[in-house]
Amino acid sequence: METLLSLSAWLTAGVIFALRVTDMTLDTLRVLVVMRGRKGIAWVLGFFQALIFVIAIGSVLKDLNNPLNILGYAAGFATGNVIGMLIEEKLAIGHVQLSIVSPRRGAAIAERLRAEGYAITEIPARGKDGMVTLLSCSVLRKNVDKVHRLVNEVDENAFITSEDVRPVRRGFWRA
Amino acid sequence: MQYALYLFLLRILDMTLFTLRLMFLMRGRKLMTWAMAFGGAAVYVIGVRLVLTDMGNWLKLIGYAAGFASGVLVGMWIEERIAVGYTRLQIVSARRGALLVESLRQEGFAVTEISGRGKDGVVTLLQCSLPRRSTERAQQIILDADPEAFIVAQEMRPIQRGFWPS
Repeated sequence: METLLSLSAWLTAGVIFALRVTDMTLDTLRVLVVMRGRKGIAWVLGFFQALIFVIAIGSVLKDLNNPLNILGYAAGFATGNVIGMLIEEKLAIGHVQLSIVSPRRGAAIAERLRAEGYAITEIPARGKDGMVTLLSCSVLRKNVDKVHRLVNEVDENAFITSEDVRPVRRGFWRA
Repeated sequence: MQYALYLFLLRILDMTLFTLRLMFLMRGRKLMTWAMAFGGAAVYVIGVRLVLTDMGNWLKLIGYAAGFASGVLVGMWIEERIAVGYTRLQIVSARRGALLVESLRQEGFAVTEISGRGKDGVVTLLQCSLPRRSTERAQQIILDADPEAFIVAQEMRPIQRGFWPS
């Protein structure tokens, strides 16, 4: 039990934690980037993740009988995942397609978004209580919050969904 | 023999957790991702590594590989049961569009109708956003109304709620 109290035991566990956080952050980013088909970034992330794993973690991992180290390992692994997700959300790589359904204010939403430079396709459609407007709008993921706000200003009850898309042939993307 | 079995079972457990982690990760669910990753890593270091020494034994090798593969399947199976997230169904019906819409709405699904054109004339294109959990129920309703309907499902994220069937 005295191992739990020594400074060096805590230090080792801390190092394991920090290394695992670093390599799992890279690994998580890699997975999310692979899902969007970005090969170059995926290669770089994969390279550094593997490098950290082989050089650093492999050597520290030999001593995993200490429960403190095990805790550091598992907590570092889990925390790295979450940090990777947070970074990926900030980077917001890729494109999404927004679908906006508005019963009454479709034309106004389209006009507002176009005034801001977004490309909108309007499709007339029918809902339970009559005609609605279905707006299709492909934007950079970075701009999703902004578009959401603009739509909200015009129609608070609009129904908005997003899905990840890959541009096959670029039409008009707002820069 | 005994160790091969341990290895098999432990690998199933940690790969189940890792697979679930990946599925939560893809959907941006941070808390669940943390929990699954923590559990998976703990099982891996405590259990798998202890048995992992001396892999010369071919029974253990098979236990390791079979456990790994089975864990992925178990994780996927569980994930399908929990069915986190939302889907959009896109349905194309050549003749029975109106009936389809009616029966879906009766069951509480929100449907947007769009008219389109297929090879043999006007068709109905329906869009229906729903929690993934209700996908099978919706599919049953659709196929009851039109056995020839063409259905595709697409995963999406709700940004602003409209109407979701409870």
